[in-house]
Amino acid sequence: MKGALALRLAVLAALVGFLEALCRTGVIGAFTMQPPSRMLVDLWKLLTSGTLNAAIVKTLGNAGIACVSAVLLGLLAAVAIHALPRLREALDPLFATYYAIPMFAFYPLLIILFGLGSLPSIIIGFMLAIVAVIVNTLNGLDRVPGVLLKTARVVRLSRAAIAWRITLPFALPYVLTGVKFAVAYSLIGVIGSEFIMATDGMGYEIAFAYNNFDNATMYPLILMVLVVSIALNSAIGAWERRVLARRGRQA
Amino acid sequence: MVFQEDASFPWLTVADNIAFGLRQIGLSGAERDRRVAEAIEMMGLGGFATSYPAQLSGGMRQRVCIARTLVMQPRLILLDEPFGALDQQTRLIMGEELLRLWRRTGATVLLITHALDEAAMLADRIGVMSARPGRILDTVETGWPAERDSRVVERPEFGAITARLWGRLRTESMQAIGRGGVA
Repeated sequence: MKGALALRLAVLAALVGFLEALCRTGVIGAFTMQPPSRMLVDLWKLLTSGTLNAAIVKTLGNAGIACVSAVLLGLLAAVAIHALPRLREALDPLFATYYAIPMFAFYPLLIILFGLGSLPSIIIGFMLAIVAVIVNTLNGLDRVPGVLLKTARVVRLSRAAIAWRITLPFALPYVLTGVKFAVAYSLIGVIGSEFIMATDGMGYEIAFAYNNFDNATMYPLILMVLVVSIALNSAIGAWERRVLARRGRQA
Repeated sequence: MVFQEDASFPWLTVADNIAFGLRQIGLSGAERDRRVAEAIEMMGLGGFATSYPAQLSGGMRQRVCIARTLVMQPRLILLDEPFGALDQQTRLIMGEELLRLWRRTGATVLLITHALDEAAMLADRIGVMSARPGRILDTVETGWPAERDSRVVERPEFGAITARLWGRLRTESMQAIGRGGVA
């Protein structure tokens, strides 16, 4: 476990070091890419100068709204679908093919409907995220042992109480897997749609910097998206591992 | 009501598992804590209140489930093959604990089992049931004193009781496995 972590960090450090060397020696030109160390310095300058803070707050805020609403509605939907086997039967094939849909193709339509504000990009992020939550939650709900439901009946729990006190707590590790996807998908949805068409936000700023050969803005923003996404993902991963460890299982 | 399978909630500590039903009936903090502490002590789970079921043995988890039932202070306890998943030694020990518990709580216990010796040792009265449709074929009064433990297996009456139970069950079992008429 410890050894694997050390090796993983070593591999990452070696890759970043290799990239740094390629940039420093001029194999990769300065117009193409900044050395990773410069990106860090530029990111620090960018954050302290505060010029793009509004864009960062907007994008992360929109992704947050998309993610939280996808998780909450996804949980509700999963509990409802789980309780209705015939609906489940009808929907399962749709869930299986859902991610074959290029969600961004709906973006122009959403702009026509809702204007060029935050809503269309939030909807894209939400739509990408919610089905991952539903599918993973359903997977967890399917695994609840029957004897726990019998126990619930003995203490006369209502259906809502069974979901809240038995099936969802049991399914928590699976739900967290869905939440990890939801975080990634909502960031992809929001930032991706800002790339395509928007008036502000991180995706817009990255595209704008790209068009203006402004590597000192573009790369730090990309780095920041990476850091935020990976940090959230590992935080949820750590929670997931703790829950599983309590149940005597490895993640 | 206690089941054959492990019905402990893996995401709750031992204490929270035991308090589950009490929360449901909305029992207040102090009284709930008192009953949970008492059940933990009674079931020999002292020191494990904050452990999770995954850290316990199968026998201990089953004791958690029995404790969860006990704190509700039922007058009738239904046990559906509660020791079926346990090894023979643990079964006998759990049987003794059940006898102690029964004497302390005064609750009526209805226990379903396939083990003849378990029935003969634990019960005051044994109903022998037929295969489908389930009917009572015979009722056996064991006549044990209330203050008994697993050592009743040494008594001559014990052999007589199990023999009578098996005599009743043999034909039934033969039929159940499809050899009706041969016996």
